[in-house]
Order: sequence, then C-alpha cells, then structure tokens
Amino acid sequence: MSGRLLEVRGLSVDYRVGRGRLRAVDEVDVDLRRGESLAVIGESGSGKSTIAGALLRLLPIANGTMTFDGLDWASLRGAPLRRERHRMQFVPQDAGSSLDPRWRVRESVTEPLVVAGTATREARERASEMLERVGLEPPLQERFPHQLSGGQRQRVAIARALLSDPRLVICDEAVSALDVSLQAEIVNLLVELRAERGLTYLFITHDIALLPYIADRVIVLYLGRIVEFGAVRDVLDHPQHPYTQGLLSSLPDAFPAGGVNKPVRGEIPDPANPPFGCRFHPRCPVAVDKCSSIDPNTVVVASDHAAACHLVSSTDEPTNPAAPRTSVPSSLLRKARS
Amino acid sequence: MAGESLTVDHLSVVFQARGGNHAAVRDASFEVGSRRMVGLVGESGSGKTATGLALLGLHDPSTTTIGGSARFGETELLGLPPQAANRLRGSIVGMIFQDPMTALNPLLTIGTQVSETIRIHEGLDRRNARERAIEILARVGLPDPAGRYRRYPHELSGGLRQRAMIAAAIACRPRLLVADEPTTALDLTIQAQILTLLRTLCVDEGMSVLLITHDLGVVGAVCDDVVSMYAGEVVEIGPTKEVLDRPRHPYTARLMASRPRIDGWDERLDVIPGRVPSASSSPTGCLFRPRCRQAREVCEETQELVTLSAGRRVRCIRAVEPDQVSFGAAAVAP
Repeated sequence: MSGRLLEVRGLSVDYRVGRGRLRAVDEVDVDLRRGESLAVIGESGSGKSTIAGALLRLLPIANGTMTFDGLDWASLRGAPLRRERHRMQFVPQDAGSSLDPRWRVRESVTEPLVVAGTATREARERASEMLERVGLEPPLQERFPHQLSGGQRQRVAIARALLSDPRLVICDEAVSALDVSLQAEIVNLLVELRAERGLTYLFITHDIALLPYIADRVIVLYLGRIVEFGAVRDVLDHPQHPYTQGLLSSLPDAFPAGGVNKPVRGEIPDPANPPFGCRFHPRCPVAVDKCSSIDPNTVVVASDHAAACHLVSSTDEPTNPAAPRTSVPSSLLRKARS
Repeated sequence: MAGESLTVDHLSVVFQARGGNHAAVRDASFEVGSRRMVGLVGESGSGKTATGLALLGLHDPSTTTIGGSARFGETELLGLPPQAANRLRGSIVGMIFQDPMTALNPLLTIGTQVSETIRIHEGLDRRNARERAIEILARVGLPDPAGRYRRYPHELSGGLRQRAMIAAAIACRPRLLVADEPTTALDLTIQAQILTLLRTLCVDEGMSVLLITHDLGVVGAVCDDVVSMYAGEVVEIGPTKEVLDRPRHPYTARLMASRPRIDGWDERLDVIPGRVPSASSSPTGCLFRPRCRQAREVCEETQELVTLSAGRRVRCIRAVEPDQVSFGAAAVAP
C-alpha cells in the first residue's frame, strides 16, 4: 500500500442557481498522504466547504476523479457507497445542530456503530470509552446536547467521527465558533488524537493563525481555485500569492501598533460571475494589465510550494501540483528559523 | 464637546432568575477616555456583554438589578426612565452587535433603518434624512451607498451588513460607541477592514469606543487601553502595549498564551484549565484562584483592584508584592 490516501484530480462542483450554474469549485487537485494533515484556507465563498461536501459524497460533482483509500471514490453509488462511507468522517463547525436534540449524546454516538452492525451493548461500551477519551466523563454522556457547553458538544462530534476508525477526518471550521481558551483545548485534543491514532486530517478553516498547530501542508483557495499551496511553514514565511500575503496582513497581530494597516480591500466577488483572468485581480494591490485577461499558470517556487500568479517567477519546472512534500524534520526547520 | 470620557463606577448587574440571583458584573470600575478605544476582554461568561448592555440601558428592569454609576461627561447613563434612555441611545451612546442579521430589522431597508435614527433624534424630514443617511453609508465604506440604501439586510454580505449596522449606530454622531464582538463572525480580511474603520471613526470623528471582544489580538491591533474581566470582575486595566507585553494578572497572561500564533510551530496551545465560575455561585477571595497556577493561601482573601501606576490597575496579590514576578512568557511556559 502506498502512502497516498487521497488523490483528487480536476474536481469541479456546480450549484444550480435559477436557470444557470455556478461553479463553486473549479479544477481542484488535492493529495493527502496517510497520517498527514492538510489545511484548506480561504474566505467565505471560496469553496472550502464545497470541497468537503464533494469529498464526503454529499454533493454531486461536475467533473474530476477521486481515489480514496484504494477505492474509485467518485463512482461509488448506493449500497457499496453506504458500506464504505465510514472510512471518511466529518466534524462540523456547530456540533449543536448536528446532534439530535432529543437524544442523549451517548445514544447519538452509539447509533452509527449499531447501524454498521455492531451489537448494541458493545457499541454502547465503545461509545462510552471514546467519549471518555475526548474528555467527556460518564455523567456528561447522559446529557442532552442543550445541557452541554459548545466545547463539550464539539468533543461529542469528535468522538462520533472517530468511533468508526476513519481513514480521513474532515474538520470544517471545527473550532471557529469557540472562545480562544476553549479553541486551544479542542485544537490540542485534535493534535493529540492524531498522534495517538495516526489520523489523517483535512482541516478547513478561515483562521490562518491555526495553521502551525494543526497542519503540515496548506491549500489556499480563492473563488473555487487553488491560488497557492505548500508546506505550512513555507507558505506562512514566504507567501507568494498576493492573496495569501493579504490574508497574513489581515491578522490582528500584523497591525502596526495603534495604527491602521492595509487589509485586503473589497470583498470576494459573486462566484456566479467570477472576474476574467486572475480571479483575484480586482482586489489585488499589485495587479498588472495581463492579470485581467489571462489566467495565471501555477508556478512552482520551491519543492512542493507553488502559486498561481503572473508575478511569481519560477525557480523550477512545474511538477505535479499539490504533490505531497517529502517531510523535513521539524527540528531542522526550527533551526532554520532561529 | 471634547474631553468627555466614560467613567464606570462600581457597576453591578444582577439577574434575578428562579434559581436565585446571578451576578453577571461585580463591582466593575473603569474609564474610557475621550477619543480612546478601549478593549473589554474576557471569556464567555466574564460579564463583558452585560456591561455593554447596561451602558445603553438595554437590560430588562423587571429581571435585572443594576447598581453603581456610569457617567459620560456630565450625563449619568444608568437608571434612566425609558424616554430619557431613548434620547441618549443613538445621540450620545451607540451600540453595534456581533450579528447584524439579528440586530437589523429584516423587513426594513438599510436606508430606512439608518435614516430612522436621524429623523427621530434630529427631526430632519425624510429627504434630508435620506441624504444624510447616504453620506453616512459612504462614510462607513459601503460601495454604491445610494443603491444599497434601498436594499434589505439579507441582500448584503456579512461584512457589508456589519458596515450598515455601524452606519445606523453612528448616524447621529454618538460620542461613545459600544461595539460587542463586531468582527467575531467575519472573515479575517473583513475583520481587518471593520477594525480599521472603527479605528478611523475613533481618530477622525473623536468618538470614544468600547470594543468588547474575546480576542486579545483584536485588542492589540486597534485599542489604546485594555480592561480584562473575569467572572464579572475587572482584574486588570492598563495601556494596551503594557498589558499585552507584560500582563500582571495571571488570567490576562493565560488568555494571551492560549491564542494561536502564526509564528508558532507544532507546540501545544496553552490551555486555561477549568471554567469561569457560574454567576449564581458566590465564591470568595480571588475568583480566578481555582484555575490559577500561582494560587496560594493568601488568595483565599478578597483581592482589591490595586493601582500600580497611573492607568495601571491589577487585582492580584502577586502584582503588589515587592519581589513580584512578571506573568509574561516565562511564567506561562510549560
């Protein structure tokens, strides 16, 4: 078995709007190795959650292929799909609305196992163990969702996702609605669980500051297209695309003391009418003439670091986009930074 | 006009519920200086929002007891009869909320909601109020203000809705703006734009701003001063840079350390164990003690908010001891 867990090529997803179609995700490639954590970042409307929906086979795809865990994932249908679904699990932003309000949370966690054919008694025991592992003591397991805090509900969602031993866990803004101190707890829990169980994460977030903690590699998405990808440290330390640079300078930490900085101007355009040429050009501070007419190619700037921008110069022949990096020991990187 | 500041003195907010009394704010005192932007920070349940609502007289008097005083210049804001409170809201104090979708009326156009305040407070007729409203919509950076005037809230993106709500709040040039988590639900890029707008309003229009947030990063970006609240009590006050560089209350320090940082690497985030005590309990001594790594016996005694230097106050025994240690990076490292 190779190290490759997920290979997505040319994924496009359309939504029907009125009589027309809106392309929410356009020709996106995603690669994930076993045990790796990949983040997808971008603003609302960039297509992050649509990618999750397509991977989870909850949304019909317009184009592209998906190979997942040795299966031709995109063409599975009906009973075979239902049988294999457990391999990919999901942790939503608001666990409160994804739990049945009339069920005690332990029942909600137990149900998927029972459906999958586990004996009820064994399923209950395993659910209880898993809930305890994520930090929910037995008395809390007998509560209803509304009797739990937001952080506790998030733990329930994590327990439910992990119970079927998934190969891939997709977290869609899983910590975005939480207070900073609670957010830290849940992030630490996800990191611990990954180390303990060798989990593979696809981590969708709009909070770029979380990247160093939760991801090895990152894809930056803008209006349905990948504008930059690479190892987290490379992208954060040497952002190539003006959009990535803009995201970084929008971080509160990047504001000059007491002053006013230059955030990315304007808002993400309507995906039904994406701008011609580079889709970012109307908001780009450094756009030149050709940006409004010619689609930029993806330019490789370093090993496994590339950006789609006319102003980025190549240092290398373009290789397979989004290919997994060969991992560099973190101690080396840390040394390199200091 | 100039030189007015907000002085909150021994503010308490107590909710009466079936189970008994819930103290949301306990004896809070702080100032928002003229033309300054002050960040009010703390976790959920720290009493930040209850403080903001009290300043606008928005608590239900039949279930809430409010004590102490809050003066803006010469004007007392607390305990006003309804009509007097109505006159103040909008003209002296304005407020914006986290979620403009629920704060704006979905059945009225943006323009109606902005011009309504102007017509009520300044007695302008419909046409003049419309002109002023469009000016203000342009002022808060709404593209195509005349067109957007006729739009309904659901027709705008989250960022533009937030701008529209700011426009409604500042339409009558209030001198104090209370902003309750105005950027928490927004994308980072839009958050940066809205924070920049608030900062500009504060500097250019001479508005004092009380910015309620749980994110110390946001405070560091735009605020002049910080008020850190825990379990309804003010635990630390000071100029932003001093407090963030060298927090003197362990709670503020831990809140700082739990933020994810872009230059972090693979390290675990610092977590504050435990939870904010419930408002219905009436603990004694330092309220942060059960979650504090530096807690000692003396912390069981009630701690006062002690002035260390001008504008710098801390409610912690260690801050006033002669050989006190900073609660900066060294103390929070694992």
